[in-house]
Amino acid sequence: MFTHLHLHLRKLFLISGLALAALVANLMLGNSKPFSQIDWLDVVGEGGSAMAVAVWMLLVLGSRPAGRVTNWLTLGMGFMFLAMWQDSLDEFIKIPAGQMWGKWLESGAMPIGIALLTYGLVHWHREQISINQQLLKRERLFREHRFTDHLTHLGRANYLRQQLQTCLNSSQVGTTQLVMLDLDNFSGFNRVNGVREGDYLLHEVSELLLLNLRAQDLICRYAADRFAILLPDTDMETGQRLASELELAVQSFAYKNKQSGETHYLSTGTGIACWLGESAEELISRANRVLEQHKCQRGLRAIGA
Amino acid sequence: MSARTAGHWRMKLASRWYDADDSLLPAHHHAAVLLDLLLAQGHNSHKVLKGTGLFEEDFHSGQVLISPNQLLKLVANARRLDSDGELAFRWGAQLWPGHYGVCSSLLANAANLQDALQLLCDYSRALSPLLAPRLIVDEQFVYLQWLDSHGAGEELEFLVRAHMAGLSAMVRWLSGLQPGWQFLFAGAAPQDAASSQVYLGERCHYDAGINLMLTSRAVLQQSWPRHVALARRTAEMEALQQMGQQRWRGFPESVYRYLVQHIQRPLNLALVAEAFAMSPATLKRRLARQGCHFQQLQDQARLHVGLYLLHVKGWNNEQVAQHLCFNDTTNFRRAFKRWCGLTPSDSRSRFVLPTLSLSA
Repeated sequence: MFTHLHLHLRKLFLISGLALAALVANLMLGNSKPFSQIDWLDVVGEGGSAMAVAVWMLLVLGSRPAGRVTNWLTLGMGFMFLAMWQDSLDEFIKIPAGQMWGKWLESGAMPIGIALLTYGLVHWHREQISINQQLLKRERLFREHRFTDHLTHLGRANYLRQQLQTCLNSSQVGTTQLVMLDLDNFSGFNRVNGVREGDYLLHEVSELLLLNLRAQDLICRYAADRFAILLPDTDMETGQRLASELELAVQSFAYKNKQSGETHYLSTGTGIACWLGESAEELISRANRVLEQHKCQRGLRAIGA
Repeated sequence: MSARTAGHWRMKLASRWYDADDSLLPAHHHAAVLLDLLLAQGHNSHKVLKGTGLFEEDFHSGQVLISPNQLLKLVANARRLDSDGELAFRWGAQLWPGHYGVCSSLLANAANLQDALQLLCDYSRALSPLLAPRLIVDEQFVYLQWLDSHGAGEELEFLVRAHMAGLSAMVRWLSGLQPGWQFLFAGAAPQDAASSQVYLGERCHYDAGINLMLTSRAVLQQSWPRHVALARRTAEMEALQQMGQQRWRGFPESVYRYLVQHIQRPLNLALVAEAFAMSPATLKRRLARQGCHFQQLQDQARLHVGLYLLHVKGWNNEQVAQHLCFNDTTNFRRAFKRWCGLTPSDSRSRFVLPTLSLSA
């Protein structure tokens, strides 16, 4: 879950060091309040907020690679955490009147933290825009991480159905094409080379297919080695051309075995279905059937072969 | 994990039976394949093995024996971790011929489909310890029914998917042919049909009352290219030496088979207990320990025989009712509806065997 956390150890040490320093300073310079004077509602409210900000910080650090944007976000949340930390400490410890540093830490760190966080978020926004462009062909305008495949990082069948439905709702009959593509004898490849190698192969094929698609197209892994490619605003002829381009791309791909370095050549079949006004589910079944028929015609074993 | 000797058997019965907590199954066989798939998907081995009493090292030693219950617990964990519904099929694709010692070499050298299915039945403890295949051949079709050997409970559907996909994949691999199976599932259709579509094809039928796959008997004797007669003979001799002449079956499976065999007799708990040489209370307790009830097994046996008579033999309700020891047809219809949710006539119109197209 927190696979990125080790990249940010220095930042974490800095923030926790400052929090510890604030605690020590409070203990040394202030006087603890008698038990009766402690306002427990404030303790829960302010202490809880400080903890929440600390958790946000860990979540952000745990999920991000190191870099400029991460630094801004961490520092912003770090300062906010320090302000709330001091705020909750002075529920227990009273700092003598003449000393202003506690007040300054409490009220000054917060605006600085918010400013840093805002600045960080602006840059995060720009970063996200450029990432979205890279992801465009994998997810069209809608993100749902539960539907993402751990193997290829493409959407799965349920994501396809959802996107296909959205696409069909806003387009005219005859202008949407759905292509199903699968590799020939992938189960045999898995038997000979093992599932791990098969998974690598699927991952690389998915990258290859992505490179051969237009910006508006969407590719999902349907199941096993079968990919579904949604081509919006496309006529039949263009759809067929794109499908045969994908076949050619896979045929000229020389996959290198991760263990032995050996080269494997692949072949593939496609089935294309043009939307004729049926439901998304029916369109998917039809594309699947066309794919199976093509396989039979090519003399290959149907189903998963 | 102790490999305690499982020695309940009666000469009277053609096969020995063993309990779901008898440690007889090598950990590095079926369990290891499933574990490896989950590890390849990046799951943590502690999570995968939680509650099984096993550690990752147990799979490497090649010495540890586990019980069906431990294997079932692993399947339960796997099912929980499986996010996209594909794991059962991925496991299935790896199941056979597999690497289960001499039984796998025997299966890999099967002469034809009939031989392969027979071997799978004869050596089911080694090849298929959780679901046992039961082979039926008539004039038209080959049927392979999957029996719940040890009371798989909630894991049954996952296992059935894996085994059906596994057998179909093995036949394709060994024969180079696609016999065009029809798949009948007792369970409901999965929410996401994508995986079953790709791994099994379009000919899946759900809520069918039985877990069974069938194909035309014309493919039974077609010889398989990977068959090497000498290798098969050697492997068979070795397998007989290792596994003995007796078939080992799970206890609920044995009771089910006994009930099917004697379906024309009005059997009750006491009579079956006598046949298994134990008291009715012991039989009940033993079944309950594996999550089964006598009544439920008897219902299943009657339903499955009833389905065969209705659909394949084309008998009418009266004949079937009589065969299954019902006093009158009304009672039979009511019971049938309770077993599978459909009346006999509805079931007949829903699955019509001759029209199930069997060409590939």
